[in-house]
Amino acid sequence: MASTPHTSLLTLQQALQEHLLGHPSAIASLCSPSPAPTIEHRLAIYHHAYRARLHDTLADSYGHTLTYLGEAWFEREALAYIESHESRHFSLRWYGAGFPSWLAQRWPKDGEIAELAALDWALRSAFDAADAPVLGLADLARLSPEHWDGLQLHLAPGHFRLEFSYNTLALWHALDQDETPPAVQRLDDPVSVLVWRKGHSPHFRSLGDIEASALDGVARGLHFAALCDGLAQAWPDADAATEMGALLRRWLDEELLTSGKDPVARP
Amino acid sequence: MPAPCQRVAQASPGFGLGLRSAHYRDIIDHPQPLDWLEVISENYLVPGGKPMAMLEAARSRYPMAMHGVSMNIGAVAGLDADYLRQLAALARRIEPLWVSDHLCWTGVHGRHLHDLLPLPYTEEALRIVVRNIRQAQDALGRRLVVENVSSYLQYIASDLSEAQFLAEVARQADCLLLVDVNNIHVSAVNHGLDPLAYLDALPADRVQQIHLAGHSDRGDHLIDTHDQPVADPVWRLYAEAVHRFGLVATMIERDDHIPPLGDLLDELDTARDISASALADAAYERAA
Repeated sequence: MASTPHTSLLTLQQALQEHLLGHPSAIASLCSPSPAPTIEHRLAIYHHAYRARLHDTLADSYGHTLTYLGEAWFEREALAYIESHESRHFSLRWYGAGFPSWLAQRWPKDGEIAELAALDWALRSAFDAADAPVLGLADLARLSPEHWDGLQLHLAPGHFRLEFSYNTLALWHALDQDETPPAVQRLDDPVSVLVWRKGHSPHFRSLGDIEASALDGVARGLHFAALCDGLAQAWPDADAATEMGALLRRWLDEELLTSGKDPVARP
Repeated sequence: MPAPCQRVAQASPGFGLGLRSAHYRDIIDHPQPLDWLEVISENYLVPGGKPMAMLEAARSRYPMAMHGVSMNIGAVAGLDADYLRQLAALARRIEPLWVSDHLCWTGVHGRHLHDLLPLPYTEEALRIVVRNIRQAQDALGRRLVVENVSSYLQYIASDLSEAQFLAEVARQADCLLLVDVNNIHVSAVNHGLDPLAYLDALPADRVQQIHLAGHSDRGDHLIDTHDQPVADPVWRLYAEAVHRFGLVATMIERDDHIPPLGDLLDELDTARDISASALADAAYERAA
């Protein structure tokens, strides 16, 4: 590439971008000669800043994963991710979206790492998820009895479901309290985890089988009667109506449901 | 110094700070000696939750300017229409004093480098930047305020100085300027330039805002880190800027090692004192 005064803007931009992304580039020949610092040093300032900014973004998004791995290991993972993942969104907020699945591929025998990262990301996503009016007890109290069977519940935007095969929740709690995490254990059966936002604060908890099934039904758009029928068929020994009543009260308390959509399905 | 009626820029709302999450409660729960706030636009281009609630609460208490980092004003292919749409929606929501971004580029071919990269100061770049600023101004329905960035390299291709380029951008695009005094100092040291000549080249009537910030001294160069107090040479250059531009909205940017709000308010008082003194000096010189 000739270093002439007529080098186009796009040529310059491509050359500097290639340099920042770690690819061969003629950018040094397009920069004005200078006394100290050298052009190589000047270019290194930008090269370093690009990686530092993305690393800091990942560290901010994946705080518990960082604590678990330690700074040196996390930095290796972050820099490897950065080298293989260019940012495609104008906002840094979304840069780390692929980090959990990438960690899962990179550390297949240490599945708790990717699960911790998935929990970090879900909590971050709940934090700034879209706002929606909360469904309260008073909203349901206004329903006449004949409308209950057709009642359709809607989950608030900031809810996420995860499935963990390791004791990741115990690890997260220990890390959160600055305690030494327990030994990693693979669970006999995977546990379903709910992440949601109450007020401004993200929360998470594990789900029992009945609640997980009921939430799956809500997500599929089943009406209240169908939710109760589904529970009665899956758990014939349980009092489905009582179970659903208890779950509904908990979901209302936890601000898990939104009144933003018409709660009563019309025929 | 031009008389107020000749200014293209709006009258100064006074002295402000950047709204940072570490200070949400201090700023929302207690009245503070602040005339206005500046927010990083991208921090609030999110769906909802606490960031948007804090933004609304702070906006209900203070006038607010929007300061973006992702417009990519030097994009050869034109600005990102989706970004502009989101930015315009945020502007409709908080009705800012003004909307600003940087004279720089941030990526090509769909990549985002998340840095404020310097442009070559050429006729071609001037045409592209002016076209893009007009695109932004059409989308926002208002004049854009454009800021000079700090830089660590210069291009052989440049045939204008940065200040000449910025002045020509402002004239041709009919936009306003955000003069980052720290960035001028950092770039002047890094490139061996005269910071006063830089100020002299700018159109005073289009200076809407001034940024102050700290930097890091790395021996043979400075890095624009925004992680420490404003340095003495930057305060001196600020006085020179006020002497030339008159009373201009001034704010302090702090993005790392964020201190208690009181420390920044003390620093802002220093800006008030320096500004008042520079204005008095300028008035005395005019009278003489």
